Amino acid sequence: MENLFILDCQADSLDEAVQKGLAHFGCRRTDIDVRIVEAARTGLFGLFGRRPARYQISISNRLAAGRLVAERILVLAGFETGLEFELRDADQELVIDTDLNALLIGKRGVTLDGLEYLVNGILDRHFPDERRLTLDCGDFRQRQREQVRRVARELVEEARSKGRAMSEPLPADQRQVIHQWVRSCPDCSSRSEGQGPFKKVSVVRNRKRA
Amino acid sequence: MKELIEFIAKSLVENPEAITISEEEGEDGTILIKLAAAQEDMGRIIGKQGRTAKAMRTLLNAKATRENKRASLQIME
Repeated sequence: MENLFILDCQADSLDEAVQKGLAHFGCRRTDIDVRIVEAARTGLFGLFGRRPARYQISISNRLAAGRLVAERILVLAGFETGLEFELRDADQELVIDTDLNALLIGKRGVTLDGLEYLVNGILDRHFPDERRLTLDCGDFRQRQREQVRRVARELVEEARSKGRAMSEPLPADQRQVIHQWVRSCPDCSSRSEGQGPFKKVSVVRNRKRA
Repeated sequence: MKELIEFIAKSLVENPEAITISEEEGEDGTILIKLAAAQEDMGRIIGKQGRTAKAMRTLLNAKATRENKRASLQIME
């Protein structure tokens, strides 16, 4: 199968090779590495057997590579209209915008989470040393964080009145947010219960010390 | 439909040439996609606790919804 992250080409100069790479990948200069595979031949008297140098252009970082993978999957999945990407390097975050954002996010974000998982799984083979990417669509992750904080407050309130409370099954990052919130409440404590993808957060009211 | 799953599956595995994929339409209009891979790649296709297979099915469902169809993915042992 063709490698999505590599382009082999011929060019008369390094600059021309860079331009070809940027046009091919539609990325920024900082996202590609360029190396000469075979030097140019000047030929006899500069006329016969002249051949330009061969270059290999490759994607240099996980975020830019992730954009290429996500773009290919989204086009194959029918999300090509209005498809745009924003790369947030500081957060290792890829923000996607399409004409069908609600469908791309899915119920409780399952479709977006699935895409994020697959894109990272594909990238692990090529960029094993870099941090995982987060995928966002519109302001979904922001709304999701607010929702998790709301759940955390509700769990603590329920634990205070009833003695204990249990969340829905939640992914690891959301459980962590809840644990952190509970830790800031001295009268309650929390732990994760259950197996694998079905882990829930249990919050209990601490017994008063005599 | 199958091009989506084919691209994802071939990108995930060590032996993309061993991926076989077929697509057929059932009597009720559901599109059934059958995917097979080399034995040593099955773990990559299915993923821990089936997460990879589940993610592929989610994307397949999104595409099917977009086209007002139903689709299912069967992974062959």
